[in-house]
Amino acid sequence: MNHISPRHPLMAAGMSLILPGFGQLYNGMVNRGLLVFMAFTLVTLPLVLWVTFSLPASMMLPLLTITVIVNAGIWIYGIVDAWKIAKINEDYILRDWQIPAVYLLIFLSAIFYFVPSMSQYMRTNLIESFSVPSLAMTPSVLQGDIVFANKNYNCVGCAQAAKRGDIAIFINPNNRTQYHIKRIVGLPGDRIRMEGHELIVNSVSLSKSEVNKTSETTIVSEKAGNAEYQVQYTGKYNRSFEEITVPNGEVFVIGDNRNNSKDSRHFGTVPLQDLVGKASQVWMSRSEEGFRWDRFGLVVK
Amino acid sequence: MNKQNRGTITDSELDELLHINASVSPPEHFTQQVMKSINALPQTILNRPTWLQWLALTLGGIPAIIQTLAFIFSAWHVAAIG
Repeated sequence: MNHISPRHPLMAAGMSLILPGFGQLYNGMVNRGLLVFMAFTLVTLPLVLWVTFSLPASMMLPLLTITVIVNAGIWIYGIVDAWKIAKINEDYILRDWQIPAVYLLIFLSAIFYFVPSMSQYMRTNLIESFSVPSLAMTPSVLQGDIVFANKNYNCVGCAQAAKRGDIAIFINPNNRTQYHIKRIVGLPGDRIRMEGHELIVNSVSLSKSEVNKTSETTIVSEKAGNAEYQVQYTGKYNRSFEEITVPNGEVFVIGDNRNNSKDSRHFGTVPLQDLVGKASQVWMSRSEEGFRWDRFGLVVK
Repeated sequence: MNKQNRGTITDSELDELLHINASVSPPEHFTQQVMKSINALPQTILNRPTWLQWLALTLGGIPAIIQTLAFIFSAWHVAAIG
């Protein structure tokens, strides 16, 4: 027997709040509910893909901010729409499928499978944020920076291969539960040695000029591949090393803070397969004194 | 005036029509069919959501909102570097 069961606006809105499109299902509008859910989930993915594959790193922060705003907009639209429709649905006749088991099945599969899967896909394959707790990459990446990392990196079909000068995030060779962030200076087959403040790759010095020198610190400009960046030596630097050849399938990584970094000089070369991403843009930076607003949106290089 | 009279019918014309058209007999099982249709009419239940439904919404809503926010901010989810 059919039942007239007026829709409760607060229940409809609440259901749309916990899962976009769910309130529309409660109102019996299957297509509309599906549309809201798909818009909510699929609006993010193309934008993030666009950012990852095609756009320069400087566009990462603004476009990812836009995806959050669009997502929130669709979410709010779903809530208001469910509320409005429920309010005018006084003569609503319950559909046969509107039983608790169906709602539960839809809810569980969306919240514990579809939504987490998409979040995981984005973090694993497209973009993830990393907070930097160490001084090892000063002055390029400071302690307290949070950076977006492009995860579409160094894999078959990826937009970018590992190259000299990249600030890479990789799995710590001595502790695979941790990530490290360092600069790649040597690719497989490269010959690398360090003499004083000079890093020499394949008999060519990466060091270009001294940018700044104080009694404590020397800032040196280096160029590796297309990347130009600054590195820092403090006090009396004595970590020169003899020439080594980077084995096949591995890379040589080194921190920009040459005195204060545990890197390939310490744990050896890093397998290419352990590179998980490339640092692209700072989206938050905080020191003990407070926020470093000038670093927000800074493209790291 | 003519327009107004077009739809009206006089008593004599009605009598004439009733004599021409004999009464139509109802279809077979007419009464049963009518009663069946009446039984199939929706029954009004003015049910408001029960406390159990509100509880389910609240309890399910907590992990759901966390997952939804995690999705929106998936790129902003911060992993620590050792």
